[in-house]
Amino acid sequence: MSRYVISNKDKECIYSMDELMPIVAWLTEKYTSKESTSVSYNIARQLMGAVLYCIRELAVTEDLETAALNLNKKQLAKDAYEKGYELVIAKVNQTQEMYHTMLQCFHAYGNQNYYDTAVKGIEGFLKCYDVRYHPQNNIITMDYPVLLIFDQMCGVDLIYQYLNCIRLEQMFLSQLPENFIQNTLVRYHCDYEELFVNICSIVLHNILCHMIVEKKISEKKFTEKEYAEIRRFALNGTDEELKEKLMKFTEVLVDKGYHKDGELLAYLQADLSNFAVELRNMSSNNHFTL
Amino acid sequence: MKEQEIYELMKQDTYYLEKVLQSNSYTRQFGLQLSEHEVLELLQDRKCSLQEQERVEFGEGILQKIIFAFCDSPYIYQDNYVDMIAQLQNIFYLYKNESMDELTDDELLSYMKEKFENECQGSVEHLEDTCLEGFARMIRAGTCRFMGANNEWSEE
Repeated sequence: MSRYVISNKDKECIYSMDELMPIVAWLTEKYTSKESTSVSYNIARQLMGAVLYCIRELAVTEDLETAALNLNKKQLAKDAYEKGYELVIAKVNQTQEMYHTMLQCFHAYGNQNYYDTAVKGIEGFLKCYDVRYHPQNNIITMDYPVLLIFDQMCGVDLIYQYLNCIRLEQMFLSQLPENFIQNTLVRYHCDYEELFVNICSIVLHNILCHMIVEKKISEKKFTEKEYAEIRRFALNGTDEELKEKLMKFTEVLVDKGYHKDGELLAYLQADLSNFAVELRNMSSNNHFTL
Repeated sequence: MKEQEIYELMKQDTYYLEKVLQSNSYTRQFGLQLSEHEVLELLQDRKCSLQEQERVEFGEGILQKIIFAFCDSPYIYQDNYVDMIAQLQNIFYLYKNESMDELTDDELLSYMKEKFENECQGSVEHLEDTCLEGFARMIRAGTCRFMGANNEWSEE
């Protein structure tokens, strides 16, 4: 008989088909309102996915083996599913709350994709998300690229993390003058409104370059002398060393401007490997988009 | 196949076997009866149909419902009983897919029964290739809908 392994970081729990099939059968009955005895493979797969998603939600949220000690062993899978289902609902509520809080001061800085994804897309997700029958579906394509990749996640877990990234970006951008952000984006590309780019990373790169040349952030372009200084800075040492220096600058930035927010720091630093390489390339080719 | 899996399958089949055999007490009044061997044959057909149509069935299955729906038909008699039920079962799963699961079991069965008795005059081929084919097309296109349990159908 096939077995499904549900694991979190430390523990893993194995469920046999015998334990899972009654839950899928029960869910199918609910799905068809008892009006159809059979469903297609696709629907059966979807419903099995829904059961596993909820059980996995429990596994990642709490220690499954500890839970097992307190439960009747025969009902473990069903109980794990029900508990997991409740956790998924709680996660949806948290996402909704975060979305509404973020919406109050959300600014897309003219970028259409940013607005469409963060405002319309998440709203669409919250409207259409099906916790019972298809919790593993993220529904939206999340076209706005955030700085982290969540390729192991799906459903509301993914959307929650994605929304959290947008929240952190908004937190970062809200502390900066709007004109500075707009000018930085225009200097990056005159059609930035239409591009599928990360706004936060463009602004962060610009601020880091200001820190390199020890200049206050301004709406003006860098001078040739300043570009030369950035070039010297970037070409001095290896990629790894450059990344380390940029990490330090980001730390200083978050310490001073964002009350040492660890979550924001980790998020911004996730972009620095790419930026280190990008900055070296820009310096080598003497072609800056800052 | 492992011993445990064979045992599980046997357990499932025994359950369905008993259920379907129980229907004999009702169908006997129409001169129809299934032997244990014939039920097992039908259950085997059911498995093949489900596999072929890529469907999964839970609960009591559709076989008993088909038997109850069609046993009073004048076109079904003891000699063609097993064959007819097997074919109707195949068609049922096929058209559940073809109608994109837009029809409930009862809706599809009631349509099949109505056409089988009247327009098809007991021809399963006509039912499959003509009536259900056109009906499924209309369901997919959304131009036909079920009007209720009294076999009323309407075209929009």
